[in-house]
Amino acid sequence: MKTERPGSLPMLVAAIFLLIFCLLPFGYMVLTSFARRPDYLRGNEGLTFTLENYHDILSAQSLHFLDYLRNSLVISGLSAACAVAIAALAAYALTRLSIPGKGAILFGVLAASLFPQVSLVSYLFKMMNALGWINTWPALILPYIGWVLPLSLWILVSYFAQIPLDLDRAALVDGCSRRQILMRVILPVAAPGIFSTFLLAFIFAFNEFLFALVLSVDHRARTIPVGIALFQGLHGQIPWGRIMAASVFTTLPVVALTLFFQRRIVQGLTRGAIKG
Amino acid sequence: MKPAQDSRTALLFLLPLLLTVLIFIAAPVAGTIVESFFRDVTFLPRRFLGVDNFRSLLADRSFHQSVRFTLLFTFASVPLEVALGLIFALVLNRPLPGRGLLRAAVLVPWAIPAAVSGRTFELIYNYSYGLANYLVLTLGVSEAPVNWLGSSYGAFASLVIADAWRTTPFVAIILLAGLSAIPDELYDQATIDGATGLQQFARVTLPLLKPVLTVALLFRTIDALRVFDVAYVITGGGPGGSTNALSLYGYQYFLSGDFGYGSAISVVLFALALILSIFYVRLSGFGRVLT
Amino acid sequence: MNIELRQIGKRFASRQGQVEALAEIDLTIGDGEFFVLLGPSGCGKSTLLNLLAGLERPSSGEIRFDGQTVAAAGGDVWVPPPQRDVAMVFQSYALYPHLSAFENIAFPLRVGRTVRREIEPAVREIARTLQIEEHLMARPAELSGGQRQRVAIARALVRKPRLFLLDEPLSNLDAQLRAETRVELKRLQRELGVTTVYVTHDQVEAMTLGHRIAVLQKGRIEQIGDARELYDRPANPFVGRFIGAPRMNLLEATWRREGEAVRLHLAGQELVLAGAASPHFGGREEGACLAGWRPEHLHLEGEGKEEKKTSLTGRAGLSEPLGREYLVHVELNGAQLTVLRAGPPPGEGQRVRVRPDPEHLHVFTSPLA
Repeated sequence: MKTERPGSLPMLVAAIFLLIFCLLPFGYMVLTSFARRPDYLRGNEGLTFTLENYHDILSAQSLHFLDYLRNSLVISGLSAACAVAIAALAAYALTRLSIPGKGAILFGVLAASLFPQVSLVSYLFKMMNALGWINTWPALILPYIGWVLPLSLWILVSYFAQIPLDLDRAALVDGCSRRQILMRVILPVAAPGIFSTFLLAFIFAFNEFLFALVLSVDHRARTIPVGIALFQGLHGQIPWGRIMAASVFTTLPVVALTLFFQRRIVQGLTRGAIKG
Repeated sequence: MKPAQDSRTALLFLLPLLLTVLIFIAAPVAGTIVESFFRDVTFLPRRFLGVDNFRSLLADRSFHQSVRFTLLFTFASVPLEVALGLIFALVLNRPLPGRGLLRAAVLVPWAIPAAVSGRTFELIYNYSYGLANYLVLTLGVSEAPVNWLGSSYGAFASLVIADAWRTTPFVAIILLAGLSAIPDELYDQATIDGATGLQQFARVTLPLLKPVLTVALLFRTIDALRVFDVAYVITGGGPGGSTNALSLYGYQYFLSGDFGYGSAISVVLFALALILSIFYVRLSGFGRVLT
Repeated sequence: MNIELRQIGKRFASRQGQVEALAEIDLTIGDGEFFVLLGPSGCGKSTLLNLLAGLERPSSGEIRFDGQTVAAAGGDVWVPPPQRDVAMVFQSYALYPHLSAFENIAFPLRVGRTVRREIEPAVREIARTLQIEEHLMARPAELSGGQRQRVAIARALVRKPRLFLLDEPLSNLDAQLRAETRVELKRLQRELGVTTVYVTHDQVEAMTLGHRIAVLQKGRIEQIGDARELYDRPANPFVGRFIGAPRMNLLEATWRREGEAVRLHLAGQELVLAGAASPHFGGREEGACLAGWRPEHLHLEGEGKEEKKTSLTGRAGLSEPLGREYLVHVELNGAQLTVLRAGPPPGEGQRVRVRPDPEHLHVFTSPLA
């Protein structure tokens, strides 16, 4: 598997297979979103191109599509930002200050990320219910912070560990307090890594389903994944066109983000994984 | 910096992390474990049951069905994802033209929320006009359309495929990182020593990839055990509860207000994940690496 | 600023148990002195430097700057690095990668809240002295190793510290650059007159740069002195072998006085040394020792010149051409000697005689460390 010689035939075939595998369902999603009727593959009519699906989801208030989108963006953005901030502070402490039980903390956080969501959800529901927060943004933002925190921590720890300790020492000798070292030296140097982690945390939070399903009730706090999952037609006929339009509309920004920052995302993911 | 001051700073920096994990992960899990020993149903008085919930589970045939499905699903989809992921990683490791495009394409399934891609797959598996049967019929794989969502085998296959589609990218990227860490010189040496491509793969690539593979296997196994999104969206647990993943099964009890029984199911799922993790860690000697 | 180290010790816990990095170091460094800490890796020299910088705390003992205690074991007194007015150049240079060279140098001034107006001229002045003015806008990643090092030095000196610490600053440079920078550093220090402590494992660097050198091994000071003293009068075999290249020859010997001369028994042969050697043996009449000669104080003589047992016989081995001279390896009865010879070397296998200089004999009674 030398990385020098490209394109042997099996590799080319595998590459094409990769493209088809990854993009076919997505392509189907896009195609159906532009179709008047979802059964165009059956051969009766063929594909009638239309924009009415998009028009419907964007204009029909009762569909609440834009509400869901707004909720998702705000909730994911805020929780990702908080999680990354918390993780950055902790990662700094773990990689640079002497702390007893460092390994235990990292291991504990990793273990925490392995719990099945369903084992958290009933307690969270009761908690949010008791606070009267069901169907509000905080009800989702707070658990989401916990949800993306372990991943953020692992990735940031690996980034911070790569920043040489000599930089801290130099800053110390140059006259900085611990806080100044963090603000003037470590954070600027770690900024690209922090950004990558934020992207990943955002995507993770955005794609979350179960918590949102349980902790939100209607358009005031419901997120896109739940909105699209529960999207049912009125007359027993599932409005596939609209569902696909909503799906495309939602995922296009996320996919665009991914394509654009593909390098950073891959970097972040692999750090988190290799460290684990 | 006095050491005392340093410790104080350290504590301050760690506090948000510890608090968040405590309140939003540790406490809920602990709460659920405690719950599993109680009868907690809305409108009924709460009562301590000891291990009665678990005893009921042992006799519950739906529960057996759920466990069976979850385990089968895990051991079917994980090898599939890892195998596919490995192939993709090998492809991505080559300097093929349009490598950036390939990498971006690989990330697409992962970037889309599971619930969203789940609905697309729901349409794909539509009996009358879905993409799957279209391909099956036009490619001549079968004479009659496959009843994807209406038969238990079909539903099983449809979930495995949908989940594999969604998660293969993650595996591929992790394996790609592992692959790129293998220095080219090793392959050069193997070529000089007369090894064929396949031999190089078996003797150089695979052994050096083992740690990364193990990590990927571990994470994917745990994720597969706790699958929820695709099962909820595509099959809803059916037909006839044949694809009722454990997470979904537990959720259904929560939905109906039976928190005690639902918690017991969650505990079993959690225990399964723990056992498998320990098994993996022991098997790969990873415990040493983590400490 | 002068420095006093009293009974300084540093211990820390590791997986192998307690490790003693430094043991009972007593040291005084004078104001404006260029003091070198020399030793092999693991000898504790960097630890000592870190103690002076305040990056580590002493396990025992006391450190004083200008008579004021800055660190004492037990934590009663502790002045942290920002308040010690110390500057340091790290082996890795530790330049801030996200800042330009200018900002790197200005960093300590900005942190120290120097008036903004004064920062730029100060930076430019030190940059001029170190000849990096044209690189001030570049980032560290864009600079060569030598340039980065100068930026590191500039950053250290820009605030005119009262103590200047350097941790193996030249080890990442290629040989040519190292030699050039060495001279410049020496000149710079003389000009600025700042008290400097310099850590290195390279004895050539130590000898050329330092006013005084402390040779360390395994956490202890083996000897302190200037280059001449260490070279001509090493206190023990370790210092003898560590200083000077090619290395000093050491042979186990027994000796006895014979009137004015001394008779030595070594490498299975006998050697009679003239009176010039006598003072090296102190007041005793006989004993056992390690006898040492530097390769330049051994002379090769061909066969046939039978002198009164003033030379040893052996067989010539490989000869290494060093440019000015040859380093000839001679074997005698299992022992190996190296001899520096200006003229053409003897052929391999040829029998030769080695005549040592009686007055340049080094006698050590302690065993080879």
